Amino acid sequence: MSEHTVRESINRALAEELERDERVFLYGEDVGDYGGLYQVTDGLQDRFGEERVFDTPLSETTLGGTAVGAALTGTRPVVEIMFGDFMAIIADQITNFAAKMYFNYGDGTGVPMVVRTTYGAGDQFGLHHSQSPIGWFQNVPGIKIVAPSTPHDYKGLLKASIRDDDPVIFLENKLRYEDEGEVPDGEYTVPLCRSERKRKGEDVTVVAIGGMVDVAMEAAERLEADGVDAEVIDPRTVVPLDKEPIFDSVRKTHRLVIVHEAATFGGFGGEIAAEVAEEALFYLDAPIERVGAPFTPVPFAENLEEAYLPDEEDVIEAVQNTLGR
Amino acid sequence: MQTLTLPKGGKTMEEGTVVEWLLEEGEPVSAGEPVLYFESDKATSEITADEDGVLLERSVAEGETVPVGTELGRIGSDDEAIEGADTAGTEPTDGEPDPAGKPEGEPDPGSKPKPNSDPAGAAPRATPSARRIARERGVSLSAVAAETGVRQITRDDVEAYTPVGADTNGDDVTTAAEPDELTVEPVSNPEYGDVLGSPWARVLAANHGIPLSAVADETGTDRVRASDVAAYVENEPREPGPEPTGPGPDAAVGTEPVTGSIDEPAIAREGPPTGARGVMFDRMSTVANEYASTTTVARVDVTDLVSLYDQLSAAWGEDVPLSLTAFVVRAVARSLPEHDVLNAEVTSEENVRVYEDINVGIAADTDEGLLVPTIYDADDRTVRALSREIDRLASGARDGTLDHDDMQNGTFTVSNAGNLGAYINTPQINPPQTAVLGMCAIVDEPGVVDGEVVPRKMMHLTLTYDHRVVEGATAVGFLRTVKSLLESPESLLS
Amino acid sequence: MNLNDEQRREIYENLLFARRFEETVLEAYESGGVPELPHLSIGQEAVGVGATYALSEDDWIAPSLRTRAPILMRVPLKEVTAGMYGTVSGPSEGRTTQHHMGSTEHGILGTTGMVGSHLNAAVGAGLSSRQLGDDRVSAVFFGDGATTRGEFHTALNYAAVEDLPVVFIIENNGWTEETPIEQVTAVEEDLIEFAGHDLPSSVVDGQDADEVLAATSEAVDRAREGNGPTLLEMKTYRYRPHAEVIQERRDEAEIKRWKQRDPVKIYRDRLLDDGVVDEAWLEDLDASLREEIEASFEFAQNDPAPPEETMYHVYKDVEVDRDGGVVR
Repeated sequence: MSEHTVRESINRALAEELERDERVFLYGEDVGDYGGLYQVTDGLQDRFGEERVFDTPLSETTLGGTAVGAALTGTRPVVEIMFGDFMAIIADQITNFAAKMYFNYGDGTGVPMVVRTTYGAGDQFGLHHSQSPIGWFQNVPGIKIVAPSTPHDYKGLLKASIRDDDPVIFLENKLRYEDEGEVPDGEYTVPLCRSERKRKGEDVTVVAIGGMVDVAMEAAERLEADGVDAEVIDPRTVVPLDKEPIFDSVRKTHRLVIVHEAATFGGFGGEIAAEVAEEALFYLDAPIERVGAPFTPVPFAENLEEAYLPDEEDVIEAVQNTLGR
Repeated sequence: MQTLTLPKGGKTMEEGTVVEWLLEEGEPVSAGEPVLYFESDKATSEITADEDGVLLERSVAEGETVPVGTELGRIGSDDEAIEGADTAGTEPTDGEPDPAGKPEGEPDPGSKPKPNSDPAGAAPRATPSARRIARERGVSLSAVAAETGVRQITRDDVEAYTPVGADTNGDDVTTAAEPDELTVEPVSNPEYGDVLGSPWARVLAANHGIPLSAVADETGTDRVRASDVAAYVENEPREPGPEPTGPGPDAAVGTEPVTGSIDEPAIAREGPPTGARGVMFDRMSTVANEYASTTTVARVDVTDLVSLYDQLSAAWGEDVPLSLTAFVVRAVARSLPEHDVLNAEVTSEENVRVYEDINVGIAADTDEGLLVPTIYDADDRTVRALSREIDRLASGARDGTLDHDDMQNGTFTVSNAGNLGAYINTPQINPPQTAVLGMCAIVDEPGVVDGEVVPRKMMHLTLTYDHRVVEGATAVGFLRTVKSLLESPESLLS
Repeated sequence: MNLNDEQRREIYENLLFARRFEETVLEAYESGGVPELPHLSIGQEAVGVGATYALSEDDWIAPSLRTRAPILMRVPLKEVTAGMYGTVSGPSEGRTTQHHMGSTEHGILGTTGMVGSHLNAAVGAGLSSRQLGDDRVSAVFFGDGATTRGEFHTALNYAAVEDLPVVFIIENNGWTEETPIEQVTAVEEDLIEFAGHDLPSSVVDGQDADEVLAATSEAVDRAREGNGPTLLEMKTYRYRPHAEVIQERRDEAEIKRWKQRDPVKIYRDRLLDDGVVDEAWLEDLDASLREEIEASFEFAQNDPAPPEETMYHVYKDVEVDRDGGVVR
């Protein structure tokens, strides 16, 4: 084990997969020579050459369309879309093309492509460079959405995503590239479509996604001091969802709080709440609480953005509500 | 006036025991609400009130056994109420009450904002006794709340309140309830009264046979949660109902009290199997419908094992709750890698998942039915460590203190029906696993050693396996390995 | 490309095959037999046949929904017909219409209902060729309407800037659905004026399969030699409306004029003039094609409907339940 940042974990995952499989290539705006806006792909072009790691026009349409075409014809493209907000531009290529070709073909042809993109408010990048795009794609059968939370998971899940035969949207929280954590030194992957319990607890289940997992973990630490034993579940792959661990946890704790960064209304939390209401209603001892952003675009002013982004206080309050405190 | 007498619950019923009074003397009761539980030799049943009124008298105390026909108590109208009957002790002393009922214009710095406040909370919160007195006096709880500014109205608040233009003598007042109080007036549901319960609290209460209204009275809340039910059960220990484990909610909610009949055979009880028995029902149905269960049996000479066991028991003393099962689990864990299709699951029609980890489930018989807690990484544990773990799991199963993880992730199961005396017992597979090993009783039988007939201790081991995925030869080979390990028990200590 | 008599007969066979097939589709549709709404290419056959003939079997084809002939040339007929009926033997077992079919085995890229969205996908196939170091070329067919989409510009630009082995083939039939293309494009004369991406382009008589074949062969050679993409504008015409639900609003005279340059007839006359075929051969061919096509319709009509589980084919690498929940 060694300490690595999220950025290093992603960079190493990409390097290891480029090394392992010559069908893998990496491209996007500024990912080659410049090393990516967030320097995530730094050094990869030097190491693997311009044929494997290269720059593209400022055209998400080209990136999305060529990635689908390449994935259908025997290679495994990894594209970088600089900001999740720009996913709206390649939404057609993802929802109508990538997600549907396995269904459309009858010979088992898959679409092994990964779309890496960033999301996350908190850096005053404003309403077109901060959104979480999960809600836009969660209703699209055929796509996988992966949102890791720790350096360990970032690396293992990205490697698994590149090896996966389905199209994957891989979400990177741009405020957490500097976060550090333990990462195994050797080869490993983290399986897609498996939820993980990040913290064991008895009193309340907190399901948190992506960057909100840390927020939930910190809230859980503070709640412990208050005598509340929170269980934190990180789905890691948001779609398709590994639901059973969530149901099992709710059956044990009888309380559920869901935390994500996108707006609460129409967000992924509503889907989990509905699933639990269907599968485990009679185990609930309190109304389900959702913690998410308000139904506004991501605001720019520092204080507004702070008010927008869910934080530990919000999680703690929601947990207290479920406990009737 | 209603006289409560012990009914004849069945042809053979001669007497009955009062298990529990649900009301204190002087407490009001609505028609249809249960008043007490009694137990006959067949079942626990309830007696309900025929009319609205108060419980005037309890003639027979809880725990007393009396003949059929004995008067148990009386229900009558208010004015027959026993003077001085006091139902104090229901004041809430803890918890932060819901601010939802707080009147406007009264900021409360201590309260947390509640963006998702319960619409039902629009009515003022009040303790049951406060609500009863308010009702008796014709006092509006909203008015009390507005006057006092408290977030949960107590009996004292109501007593201290003098409504404008109203006579405080409750006997003469017939003021109709205000619309906003309708939600807190008694409703006709005899089980829940005017109390709301969380889904889980309702399940727990139903499983314990407790009306939510009783919990509300005891704990001073009209929003009953699981913790309130638990507190109620703890404060007034009663005949325990089945713990709501497994599929509890779905199964438990529909059960009804049972009454006998003169002509037909009296039904002792009925209803879907719940808790661990519900789990058993589902799992065994799966096995019966989907598995190709086949059993093979080995006869094991455990003479040496028993003497080693006696020797070690004496040497290790009470520190180690040594068990023969531990030796068998040790032998099983050693033998599984070589026959790993037995350490596996059938995950779907055509998928067999063979495990690397060896997590052995131990079937344990408890009051609630069969539970199968798991020994994780059994192959990494010594006989001594296994004994301790088995002891922990067995007592946890009996006490209901096992946690969630203890009850899952098993990859193979060992069931010991031997200590129940079974000569040959073939336990059923615990799906989705592929095999289960049954231990049977140890019996003294003649055996042949060096050509001489001598007394030996023998035990049957039965291996039931899913023949869809396990070949007969594998099963027999596995049993042979386990048998030879158990017949050279010293090897299991290394 | 010098063609021998055998190859010329083969080209004619494919032209007539596509023609007879689509005529049969139309008949079946009009009598209520085919569930897939036909978007027919009758009149445009020479583009698909000539261009496909210029490709090697390994090359990728990215068809538009109207590119029928290349599909008929690569995919077994019964599969294509069953695809229109949505039965189990179709290319996607009834999950999608035959118009969007994809098949790795036959080198056909699946497409979508978004006109032009497959242009960049064809460029992606070019990226694969470069990554894998093989010399597969991809040929993408699209209508004149697609040239008004951003996909057209972005795909041409990227293929040109990266010198990718792609042949862009505009099937310019003059009409974008029911609107004349000149009404909605700011070009003087030809759609290739849009190009300007430092890539070779030319206008081709799309009614003459030999012309199409020659122009495409040159573009394929260029691509295979690593010299990048080519844009070809095939001037052609469809005899039927955009789709069979749409009322014909085009001028009778215009349709008649184009029919005088019918691609099947042009090729037939040429083969007769050159003595490559005779009337008897032509009659035999027609009869045997009709028989084969009839048999495929009979097959499809008797082919079973797909069982419900067929549609639960959404993820390749994970098992999910009806509602997308992961099955563990």
